[in-house]
Amino acid sequence: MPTRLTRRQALVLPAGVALGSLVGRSAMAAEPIKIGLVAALSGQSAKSGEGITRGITIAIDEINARGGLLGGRMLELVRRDDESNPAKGQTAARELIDKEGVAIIFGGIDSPVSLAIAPLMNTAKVPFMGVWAAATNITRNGANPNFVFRVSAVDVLVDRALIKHAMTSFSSKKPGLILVNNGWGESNLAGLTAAAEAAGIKLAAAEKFDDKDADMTPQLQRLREAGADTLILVGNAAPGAQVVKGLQRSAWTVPIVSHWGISGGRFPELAGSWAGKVHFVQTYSFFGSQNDVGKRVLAAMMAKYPDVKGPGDVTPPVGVANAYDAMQLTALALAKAGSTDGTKLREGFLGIESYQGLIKNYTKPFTDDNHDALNENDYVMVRYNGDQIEPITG
Amino acid sequence: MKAIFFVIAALLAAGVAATCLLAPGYYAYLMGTLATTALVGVGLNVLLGLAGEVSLGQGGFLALGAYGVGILTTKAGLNFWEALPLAVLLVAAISAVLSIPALRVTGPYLAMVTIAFGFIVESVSVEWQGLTGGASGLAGIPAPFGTGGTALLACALCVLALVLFYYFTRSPLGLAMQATAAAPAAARGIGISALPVRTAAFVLAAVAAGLAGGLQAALTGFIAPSSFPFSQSILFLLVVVLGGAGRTLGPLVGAAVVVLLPEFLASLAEYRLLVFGAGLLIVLWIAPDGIAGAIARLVMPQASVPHARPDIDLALAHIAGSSGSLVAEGVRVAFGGVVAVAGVDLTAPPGRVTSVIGPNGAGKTTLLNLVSGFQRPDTGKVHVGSADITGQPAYDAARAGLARTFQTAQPFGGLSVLDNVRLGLLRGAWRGEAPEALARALLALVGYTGSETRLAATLPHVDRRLVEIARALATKPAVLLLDEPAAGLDDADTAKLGSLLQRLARAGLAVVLVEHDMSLVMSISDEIVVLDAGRRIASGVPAAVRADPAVKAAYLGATTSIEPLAPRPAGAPLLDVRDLNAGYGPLGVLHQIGLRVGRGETIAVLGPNGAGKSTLMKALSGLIRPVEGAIGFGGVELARLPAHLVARAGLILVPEGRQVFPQLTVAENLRLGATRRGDFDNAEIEAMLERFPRLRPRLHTAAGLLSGGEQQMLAVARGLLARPDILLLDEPSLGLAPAVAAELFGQFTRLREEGMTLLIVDQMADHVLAIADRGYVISGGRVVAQGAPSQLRDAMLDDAYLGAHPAVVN
Amino acid sequence: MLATAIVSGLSLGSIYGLIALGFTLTFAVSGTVNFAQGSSVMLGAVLCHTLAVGMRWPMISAVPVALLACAIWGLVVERIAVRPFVARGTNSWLMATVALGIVLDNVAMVLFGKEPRALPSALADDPWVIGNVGIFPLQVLVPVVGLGLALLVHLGMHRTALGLKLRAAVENPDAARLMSIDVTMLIALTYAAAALLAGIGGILIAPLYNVAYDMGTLFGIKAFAVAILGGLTNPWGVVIAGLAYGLVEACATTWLGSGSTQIVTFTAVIAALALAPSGLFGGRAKVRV
Repeated sequence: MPTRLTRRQALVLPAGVALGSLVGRSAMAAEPIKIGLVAALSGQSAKSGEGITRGITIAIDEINARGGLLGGRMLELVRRDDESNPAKGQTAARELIDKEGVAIIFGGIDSPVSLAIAPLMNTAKVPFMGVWAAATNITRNGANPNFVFRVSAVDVLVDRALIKHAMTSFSSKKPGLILVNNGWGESNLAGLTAAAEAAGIKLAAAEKFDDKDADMTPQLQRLREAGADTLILVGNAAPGAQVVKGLQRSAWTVPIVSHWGISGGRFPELAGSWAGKVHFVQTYSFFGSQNDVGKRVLAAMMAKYPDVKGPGDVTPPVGVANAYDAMQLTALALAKAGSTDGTKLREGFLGIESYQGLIKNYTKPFTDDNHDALNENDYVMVRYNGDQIEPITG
Repeated sequence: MKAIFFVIAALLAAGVAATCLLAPGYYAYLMGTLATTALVGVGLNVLLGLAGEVSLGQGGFLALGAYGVGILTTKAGLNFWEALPLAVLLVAAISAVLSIPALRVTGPYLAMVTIAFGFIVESVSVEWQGLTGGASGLAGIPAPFGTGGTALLACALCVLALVLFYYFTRSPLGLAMQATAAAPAAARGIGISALPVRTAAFVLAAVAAGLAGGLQAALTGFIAPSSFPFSQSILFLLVVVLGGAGRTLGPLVGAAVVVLLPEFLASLAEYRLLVFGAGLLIVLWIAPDGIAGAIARLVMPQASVPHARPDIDLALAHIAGSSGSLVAEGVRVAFGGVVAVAGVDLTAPPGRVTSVIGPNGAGKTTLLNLVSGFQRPDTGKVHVGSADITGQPAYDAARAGLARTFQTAQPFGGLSVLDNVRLGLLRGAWRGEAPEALARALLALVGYTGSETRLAATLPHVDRRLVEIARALATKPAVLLLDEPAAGLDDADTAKLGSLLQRLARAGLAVVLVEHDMSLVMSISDEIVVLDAGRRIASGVPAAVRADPAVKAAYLGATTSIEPLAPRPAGAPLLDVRDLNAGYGPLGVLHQIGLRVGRGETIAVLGPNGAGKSTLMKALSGLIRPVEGAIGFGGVELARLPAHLVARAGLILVPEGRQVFPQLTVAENLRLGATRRGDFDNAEIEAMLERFPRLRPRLHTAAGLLSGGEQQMLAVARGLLARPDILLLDEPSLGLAPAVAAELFGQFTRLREEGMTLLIVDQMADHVLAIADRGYVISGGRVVAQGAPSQLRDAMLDDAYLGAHPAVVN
Repeated sequence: MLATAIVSGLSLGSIYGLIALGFTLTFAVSGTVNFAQGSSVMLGAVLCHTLAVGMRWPMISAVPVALLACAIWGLVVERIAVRPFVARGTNSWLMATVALGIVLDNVAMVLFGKEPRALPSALADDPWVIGNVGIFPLQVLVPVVGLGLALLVHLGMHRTALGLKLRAAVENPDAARLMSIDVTMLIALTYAAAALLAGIGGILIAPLYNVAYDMGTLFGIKAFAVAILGGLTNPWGVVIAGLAYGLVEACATTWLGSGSTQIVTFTAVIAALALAPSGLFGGRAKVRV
């Protein structure tokens, strides 16, 4: 008899849990509003997940200190690790929607993960907020109604900025591209090609690498032979570091301009002594004179996280800043919607008039045609100095 | 019980359906994942649980199925119901192609091929962007129903697969898979060709994984290369092993643990895999049959089903159906220059018992292998009836009407007794009838009286033999070959076996018996063929063979004029063996052996082939452990020591067959002999070369290149370099030319003079007795006589070696 | 480009060979292998990082301590994941070693962290440049150490008393026992040596690549492929197979792109096994799985 019991338990329990949570959910009234986050919390991009977490947390702390939302309900962050794996991310998103009952899900650094989650969110009619992944078609996904919003860069716009920086800072005439071999790389290949064409320069060549590649010298060698005078790098921290190591090994002192993927991990440690040579894009810098929001956020960061001793320790700044502004915008949308219902929340986002934010002052950040709150005027170029990120001056 | 079972099953089904259709989508998704995981597990269970092969590439087939459905629906515009069968067909085709290289290899090599396949699929799905969407994957794959409905479909298919698996394990093909895994040689021996069976297992496993992949694609609506990481293939293996390989419900239990446990242990998220790994280790330690296996053993004792009295006439009619002689002409085979069988003729007519006898190493088993297709003869012809089976593989020989048993009984351990026999009835066919009544009748015919549902692996030795014979008879043979069927049987069982064989011969079978038990051979044989050193040296009726001087010489050594040395009085006791019982697993060989050796004595141990002499040597030297009884050795108790400590204690065995290290040089072999002592000196090698001058020119030659006599000298020299307190010599003259044997015994005489304590087992009884102070005769694993050499020689040796039971001399 | 490919190929290939040598040692004596050999690679690198970077030990003491730990790990693997199952006569050691590898990887994940880290080395900072081709000194050192260790293993096997015992145990374990050789202990020693070699491999490659809790898996699989190709029982076959594998891999990456590397190498593995089912150099494979 014990067998039967065990077997039955094994199968009936989940059903029980499922039904129980159905009943349970309707019975809860003054419970917290859950904010989901599906991001890389482990692996080479773990720092990005940590940065986003910190940005959201600082914002949530402020909102909760003000008494919460929707009649005193507190906000609560529920995180899931996608391990930079789209399938894991998608499963995690399902779980957050159906089991945790989150009002919105924030996305992480990896465009492929966000691309996998977006259609699910549109089907489930729960808003998705991208705060890092930049692939153009995450927000421009053709769905109607579209539940995907973003407070982050858009590749087409970033790519223009990267080409522009290569031309102005390094007088580049023939940049070579080195891109990660996935959806994000594809998005940037299109964007960079268009941007170069618009700027009237030719690309030397485009090379691809896989995330786990340990040796980039063959690709670099080919770019060198193609006569590249600047490299434009699109990739995450670990392979990005291997690109720099490969350059160092072959003593090729070519300038490098990079998308911001490298700032999602321990790039300066992994890349070694040449890490500082890379110029890359961010949406915000905590160095220099700050607006009120910047001062407040920096102070809160330093108070909450012992490892943050100054502006250079807010790494990666893009994750913190985007996530902070996105969370504040979400709070406004929630207040406007007056409910955690997905469809109402979506309308809440579209109804936001203005918000005095960290990165900028947002005016009508989201419209029916544009779900991207940031644009090409919102980027800064930075580089590593040791572990710290500082703006490029001069 | 049955009613309760159905109620529970209905409740389960209702629970699953409710979860899929009523609960939030995530739970339906979880159910669907559980079902697809279990589905892959069911397929892998066919490969691992039934066919015994490991695959670490199931993730690759899963991915192929998923991409098949994904591509066909999103790119070719098919709907799910059209895409799924096509995708599964594609997987079947690809796995069949892969099986060509994969199934040429087994074990770790096969594991490597499947790993490689999984990685290739992953890389191709990244690279072939136009078709697969590259690393970003394919999104928007249509599902036949909503998430709940699709999950329910997956559950239904999973249940269907479990039911099919249950019946498949009992089907001819399923049984053949288990047989091939359990005892490959025996499976060939009843007509099962291994390659198609293994290919079927491989393809079935792949098809299940492909089906699961197609369902998963519809369930998630999105697939990417990262959905199918290598770790997933390990996970599938874990599902099967954890649940219990070969158990119908095993994959379901395993999948439930793997998929649901993390949900219950959400707080363990970080430690999830850690807990899995440790859990798997623990399951492997304490429940080798997996969770389902452990539970089944606890709550479902094997019930014996009562049945009608078997009709032995049915069995006799079955075996009387085919008839024909075995005729082998000039069969010869050589292994690397050593001629094992040198052109032997053998004719076994129907209705008669033809026995093949000869001393150890005469080539009897090799001859059996040659005529039954297990080895290919270099020259010669083999016919069964009118069919020429020369050089045919064993399964074809079996289908032509030749059945055999093995020296070590090889029942299919994981199958019931009845299924063992039913497989024989099928003769390797994948479909067909194997009536249980006939199988039962055959079991009754051979005298098996135990439970028919018992797993063959758990049978006692006698029953293993009987089941093996019943299985062989089930193939409806014209010729039945038996390789030492009486080994390990007691007198009563041997007598029963003898009358069974005679009865089978009377029923029209040509019975060929290779046997050491001379009383059995002499009492039931119609004709005896005697082999020595691969040649046929005599044949005829038992009385004639027994009287043949050539046969006597082959068994006892040429009775040249060896002057016996005078026995000496016993020295101080050195080795004292009392009540020693030992054997191999279920097979008890030695019974209550008592034996004493004094310091400086030379003791002979004699007895017929198969009496247990070598087993005794192995038991004394520690190669067989555990043993019961006491082995006192100069104050040290050896019975519990492993071999290397026995050697260190000073008891050194020169094993049967020399056992030199073939790729090491003679010098290195000698040097190893001195491992026991720390004070080896190269001068000692010189002393050995002086003792065995034939070794001197070969000192830096690989030992494997030495002649048999040189190898034996090397083995003795190696033993002596250990400076033993007692030297055990197991069959030192086996296979040596008489002159070389004489030279060797000359050395033993010298050692005797030097005061070395010697315990010698040898077939050349005259040689040994000539230098022995005392001797023991062993028969049937017992000491049947002991005493002075003259007494032993005169009283009973002839009888013990060539039949009839010896009188005990004391 | 050819020069770059050869340098990369040889240095990675010698690492594969080194790790694969561990498979060879244990398989020859016991007919078993540690399927989680990759985890020992990781253990060496992670411990070296923890001691040298985390605790700021000098390399000269961090490396030996890390390697000692690897050797002890090898003993643990043999004792709890191999011996009990071999004694029982099953091949469950295969799954047991995989399980133990999962345990080790995840303990490392919890203690070491989930992010890849760099192991700085002076030998991988300042390249030697000849024309367009540059290499780090470590890249030259790696094949030298790899082949040197293979030679050392060879000499150890053929010039020492222990090696002689080992060869005896490989050829005939029972006869070796009769020579008072403790074969059980020898098997344990080969496991320690296998883990040690893997650890050395891990420490050698760590400065060139990164240190991560899951770094071992792919190395372990490639090394297993190399061991299989080399014939499992033939040490020099395995070393040559390692170099060949590394070169094919580097050439495929250079001329066909990194995406096709695994397609090329693993297809080659399958093809090679189809043509030579017991490996390219495996004269007498005694498969006991």
